[in-house]
Amino acid sequence: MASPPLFVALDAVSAVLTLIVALFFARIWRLTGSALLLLFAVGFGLVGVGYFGVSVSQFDLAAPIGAWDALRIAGQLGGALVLLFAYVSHRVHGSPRPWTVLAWSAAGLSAIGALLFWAMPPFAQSPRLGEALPVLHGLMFLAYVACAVLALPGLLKQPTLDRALVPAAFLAWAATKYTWMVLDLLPQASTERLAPLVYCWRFLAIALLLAAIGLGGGSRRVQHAPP
Amino acid sequence: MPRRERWSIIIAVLEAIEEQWASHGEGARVTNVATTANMSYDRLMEYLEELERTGFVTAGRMPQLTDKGREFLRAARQWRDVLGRFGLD
Repeated sequence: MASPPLFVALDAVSAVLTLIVALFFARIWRLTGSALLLLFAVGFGLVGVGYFGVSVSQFDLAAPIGAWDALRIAGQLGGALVLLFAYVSHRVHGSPRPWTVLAWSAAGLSAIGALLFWAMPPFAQSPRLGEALPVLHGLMFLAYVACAVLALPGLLKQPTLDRALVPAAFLAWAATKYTWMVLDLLPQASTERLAPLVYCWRFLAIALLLAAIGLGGGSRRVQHAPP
Repeated sequence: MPRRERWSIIIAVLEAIEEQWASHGEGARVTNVATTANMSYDRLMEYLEELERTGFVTAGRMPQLTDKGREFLRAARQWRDVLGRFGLD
């Protein structure tokens, strides 16, 4: 198994790269005032912040789950749900408001959840995060698969290679969560060989997202759209 | 069919104005802009008022893109490509 400092470094790099994607959406939101783009910025931002949580203890479920793990799980789950609800709000017929409210609620609850784990002593934490991990990873897996499906109309509308990047990225993120779920259920000895796979999927997803926002360019400074 | 987002409408209006001036010059009509941008006349007028206030189009019966509007449109086309990859166009 890789050394803990290596995992910490990989998590930090993941966090910075994911926050670049969040900043891209935040920048267009600032220029256009589009609420949907703000949700995407928040979703990717939460995922990025979640990566700052340390993954090391997750490879050993017998170890106590700390506040950093709570931050990671809250950020990852909150981010996945915000992205999912933002996509649904864009695709749904009729008013997008209920889905927008759900997205903001997911963002708020993930922040509150992380803060509670920081504020409460470990013995008061219920349910214990370690026991809930397989379910939480399963939820994130489903959310990312749904995001991939909801991003697919972009590719179907114009079937080019660059439009396959984002659905593929969400599928790679889903594969990350599926691998985590398998790791949660396996005995610890088996996890050591599978652990690097998590990071391979994750960096593939982030690389695909960065390629998707990088291929369009558009980094020039421009005037704001009307308020 | 997903609803049109705000950025998408702004781009559509600016592109329609550009297209109308390129095709018809002085003979361009606001009603044709509304048809090209696929929106009602009243809604188009609301957007035109905003775009005029921010200096993207000129005032008058048939607005024209300003340099600021052209620059915004050029950058906005690039964002639209990126957002299309996310299935948001």
